[in-house]
Amino acid sequence: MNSKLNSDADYLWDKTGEPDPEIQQLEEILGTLRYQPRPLEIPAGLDIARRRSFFRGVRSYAAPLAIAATVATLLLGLGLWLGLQRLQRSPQQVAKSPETPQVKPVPSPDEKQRSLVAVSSPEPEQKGLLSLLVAV
Amino acid sequence: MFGRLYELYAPLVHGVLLARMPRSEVEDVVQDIFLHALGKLHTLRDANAFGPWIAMIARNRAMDFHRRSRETVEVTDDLKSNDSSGAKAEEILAIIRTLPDAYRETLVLRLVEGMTGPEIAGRTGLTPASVRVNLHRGMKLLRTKLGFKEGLS
Repeated sequence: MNSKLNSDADYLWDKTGEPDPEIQQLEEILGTLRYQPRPLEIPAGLDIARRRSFFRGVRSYAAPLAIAATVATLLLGLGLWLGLQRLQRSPQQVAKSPETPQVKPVPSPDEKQRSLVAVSSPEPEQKGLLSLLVAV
Repeated sequence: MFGRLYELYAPLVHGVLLARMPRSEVEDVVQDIFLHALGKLHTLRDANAFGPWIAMIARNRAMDFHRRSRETVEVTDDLKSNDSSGAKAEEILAIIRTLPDAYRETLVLRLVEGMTGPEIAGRTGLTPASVRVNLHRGMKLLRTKLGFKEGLS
């Protein structure tokens, strides 16, 4: 019995050893259902997908990429424009700034009184008053 | 290249399907599966895994078939055959289909498709030890069922 089991095992596993009549009979009967080679019929219109290349991958994202690139370009342009505007405006603002000290020429003795007047960058309305004080 | 894969693995797919589906459907589904695989071949990262991959596609296709069959109409019994040996084969196959999944697939590949245990292991990606266990346990169950039913002769 044991030897029969062993021979079964060998034959069942890799068809070596003493063939088992029952298994052989099963093989014979079931072998009629075996796969019959038949050529693979590939339809003419079948789309065979290839491994996606980098550029093909990029192409599928072309629209979102184009939008993102446009937005980025616009933002960059706006930033540059604002930066240039600020740079152009800055020197004028510095000159006009009321806090900006101005160098006063060395006063002559008779002008001592006038030198007491702190000179700053006056507002247009104050300008007339200051000129009056200076004249006095 | 793909033609060679088809030649090599068509019996595997046929066996996997035959263990789960009516025989009348199997031939066409084998073709469908290979056409599907041809279209999806780029998704397969490891070329050595083609066997397990296509066997899995076949198992899934068989499950889909049964799901759709249940939704529409009960599968008709396709075990009718004109000759007596064919009828006997269909009868034994029907018994094999009642066995647990792992056993029936391995037994069909061995007894119907004529593969050896090492060949089954190589093509399905199962370990040789698993195939061996499935073969022995499946064969034991099959013997019991065949003996219980009517015997082979």
